[in-house]
Amino acid sequence: MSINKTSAVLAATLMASLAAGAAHAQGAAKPMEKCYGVAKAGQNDCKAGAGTTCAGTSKVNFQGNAWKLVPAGTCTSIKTSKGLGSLTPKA
Amino acid sequence: MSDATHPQPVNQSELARFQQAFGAALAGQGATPVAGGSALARALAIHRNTSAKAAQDALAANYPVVRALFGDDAFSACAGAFVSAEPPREPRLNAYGAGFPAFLQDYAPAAELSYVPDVAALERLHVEALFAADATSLDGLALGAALDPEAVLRLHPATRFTAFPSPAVGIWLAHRDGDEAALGEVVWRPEAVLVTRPGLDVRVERINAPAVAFLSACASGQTLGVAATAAAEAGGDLPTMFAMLITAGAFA
Amino acid sequence: MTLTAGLGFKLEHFDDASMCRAQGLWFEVHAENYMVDGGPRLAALGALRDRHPISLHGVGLSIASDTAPDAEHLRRLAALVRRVEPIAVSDHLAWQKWDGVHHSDFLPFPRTRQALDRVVDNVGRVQDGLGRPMLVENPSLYVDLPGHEMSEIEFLSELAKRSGCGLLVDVNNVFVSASNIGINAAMCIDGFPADAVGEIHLAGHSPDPDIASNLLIDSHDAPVADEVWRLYRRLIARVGPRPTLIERDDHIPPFDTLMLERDRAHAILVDADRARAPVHV
Repeated sequence: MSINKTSAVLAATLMASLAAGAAHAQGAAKPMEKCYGVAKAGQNDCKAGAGTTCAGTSKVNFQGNAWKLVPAGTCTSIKTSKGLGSLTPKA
Repeated sequence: MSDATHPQPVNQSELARFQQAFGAALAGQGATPVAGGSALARALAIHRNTSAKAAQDALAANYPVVRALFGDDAFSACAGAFVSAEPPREPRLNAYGAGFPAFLQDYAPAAELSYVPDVAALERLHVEALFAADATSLDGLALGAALDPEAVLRLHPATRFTAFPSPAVGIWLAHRDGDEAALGEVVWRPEAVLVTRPGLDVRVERINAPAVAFLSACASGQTLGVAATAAAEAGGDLPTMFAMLITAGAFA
Repeated sequence: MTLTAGLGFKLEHFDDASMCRAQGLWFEVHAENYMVDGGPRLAALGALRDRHPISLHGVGLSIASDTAPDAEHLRRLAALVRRVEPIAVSDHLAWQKWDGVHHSDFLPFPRTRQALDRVVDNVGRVQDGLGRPMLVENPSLYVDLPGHEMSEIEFLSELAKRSGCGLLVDVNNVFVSASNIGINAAMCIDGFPADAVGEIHLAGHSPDPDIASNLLIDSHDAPVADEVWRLYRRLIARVGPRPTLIERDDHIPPFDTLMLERDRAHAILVDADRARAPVHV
């Protein structure tokens, strides 16, 4: 069997595998969900890319926010290859 | 602001000179643009704050998982540093923060959290997918039973994929699902992600190395035969992998 | 009068907004938030547009910058205008962009003759790019800059006359500006040229006693204040009914709560319209 014939057979096998997969695929398109994004908790498409407002603000200082030593976020529960990590405020 | 460091063009108009000076004052450089005393200083503070808040709110909206990982206060501090370093360059704030993952690479307080830039990169792909052009996803049945090995599959405009050195995908998924227990169980390993938008909803899923090989080949314009061979060589179960990719709406 | 009072559209209100059948209702969105290639947000705007008139309100043209409007931004705005076919296109008498940085706020400038020439030219370029007139809004002012050669009203009136643009009178901004720089708000309201007024904005503001006892911030986080309603009635009584928007950008209440404020403006407009209708004997 020539090399070309081998690869042709292989290609046919590979294509048959893909076709078998394609036949099992679910229809991709889904109806729109509420808020035109994923409204499930935390998934946040409603908020993602929130964009602009016309509002002015002075109440909270958003300039040069300082570090506060308060209970941190969820990062403290994730083990890295070097053990549990945390945020380390640097002066 | 000294003229030595910021030479003024000779023909600059009064309005341009004012805006140059006001902009510098907003950025915290140089003196106030015009005599105006405390009323001007007060106005500058309000404008500076409003502008900074808009950018920080946009960043928080685009990186909700980084925010959760850091906690609100630490995220605000980080966002403040980023906004100073890379202020918005255009009015479309919904796309603001493209440079945030790279910024986090060098962000000293998060040096112990090597996965954070990866999670941020995943969040960026999510935003890109959300706003990408519309296209009909390739339907599995439309492909038919006989696939041409010389055909080239085109990725959907919203499709994004990448491999991370960290378990960034599991960390992201645990936050999406609000599953704190899963966070404690995250196994340290490299993971790859596929982000798609079948219909109008963004989907995020973990994919394996063969799927990455297949998508990489397709993305670089290789034929279906080459892509399938690459996936097979990476040890992929082709039918399962292809069913997953079609279901996710990865192709157009 | 077909259009009366409208609401600033929020994505979270999509279902209520698209189902709402209130008479004369319309919605306004920030143009920049829809300058994207595709996806759910643009689809939502398309679906809303099929049910209600839409106005595009820009926050990024920077028409008072001493440079021409950004060509790419203008091209995107024009594309969105073609897609949405809005009832109005507006932006602010302010600048945001200078030296490559975009400040997400409406920055003040000395109202000089030279500045007027520049803004007239910029508004002309925008209108040429869009193929239609735009409306220009008075922003909230926090300081009375030295170097003004004319009042805000004089500046806006000249701008409208020379460029052919209309004016968007933000009554809350008039109140906030007047309070912050110590001028009479009612006199300002009386000064807007009636023929040029194409739209009106109403919003809430908030004091900031930490900065100064009399300082007001255009915070859009509260219901419209009573003083602002009074100024609004005064304006409508003089210029006649004009499409009026209730804006809320923070502490956003349920849709129905916003509709109550919107209905109040609607009632004022309907009354004004009746008062103007020819009397049939």
